[in-house]
Amino acid sequence: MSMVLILKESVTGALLSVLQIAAFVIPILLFIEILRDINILDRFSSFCSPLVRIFQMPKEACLPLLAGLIFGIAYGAGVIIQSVREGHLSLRDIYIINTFLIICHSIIEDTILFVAIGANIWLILFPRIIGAVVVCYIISHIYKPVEVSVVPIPGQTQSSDRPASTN
Amino acid sequence: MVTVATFKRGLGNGLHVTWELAKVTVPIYIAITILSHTPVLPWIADFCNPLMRLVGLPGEASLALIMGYTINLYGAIGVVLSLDLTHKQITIIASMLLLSHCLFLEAAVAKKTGVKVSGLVLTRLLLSVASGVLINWLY
Repeated sequence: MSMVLILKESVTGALLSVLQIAAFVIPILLFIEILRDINILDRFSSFCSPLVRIFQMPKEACLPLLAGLIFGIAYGAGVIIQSVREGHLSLRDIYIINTFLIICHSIIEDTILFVAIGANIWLILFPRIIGAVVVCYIISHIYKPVEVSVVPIPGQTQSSDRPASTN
Repeated sequence: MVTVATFKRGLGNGLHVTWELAKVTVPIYIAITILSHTPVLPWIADFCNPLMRLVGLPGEASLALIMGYTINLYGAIGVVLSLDLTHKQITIIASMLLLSHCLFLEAAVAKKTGVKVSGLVLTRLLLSVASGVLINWLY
């Protein structure tokens, strides 16, 4: 086959593939924006609290988890940093949330990219979710939450489990 | 509240992602297609075949994994599209890439929240390979 023909065929093939992906990605990103504007994070918080309970985390861990799961890891990290500033999360919580999110994030957008090129939606969605839950469950059992002492230790106002400062 | 602005932003994001995807996917698709007509791609394929057989993928697909692990999913998609993979093989590589991609960039993001990331990166890679082996075996 001549080089010109190869080039011509690959350009058409590439552009058609991009159009095919766009047909999935554009509606899905529109859907994600709608989720954002109906305050999906607030609505789902109560639904998510049993999940964080199995990892022995406070319910405040829900917001960064859901944010990263739906809107992406960068957005999730932003919410984590914000929650740490407000003092809701311990170092343990942050570690577990990060573990979960680094395995499983932007599950709508990333998944649809591969569904658009022909992957089986369930077989690519479940390994991520199951992987994240199992790994976090194991970590949550190895890395036990620090018991809050009733009697405050003199000269130490904050639990050592909490980060001293962020950034 | 859902307003016209929601739709504008949603469509804008959609077009933006499509453009970002096209910028990476199209050149890589063309490059790999050209390479497949030279001895280079078969050479890489032969070299990686024994390892890739574990997850039921052809040797050429190793390029998609490397691209996805180091750079991003769009580059990996460019490679996947240019190869003639079956439905099962696309599912396997998609699962592997979804579990583990943009390793450097995403580790940097996680690091900003104040955790150690080397263990996380290793976990992702292990899960990626495990899912490949498992789907290849079960599908």
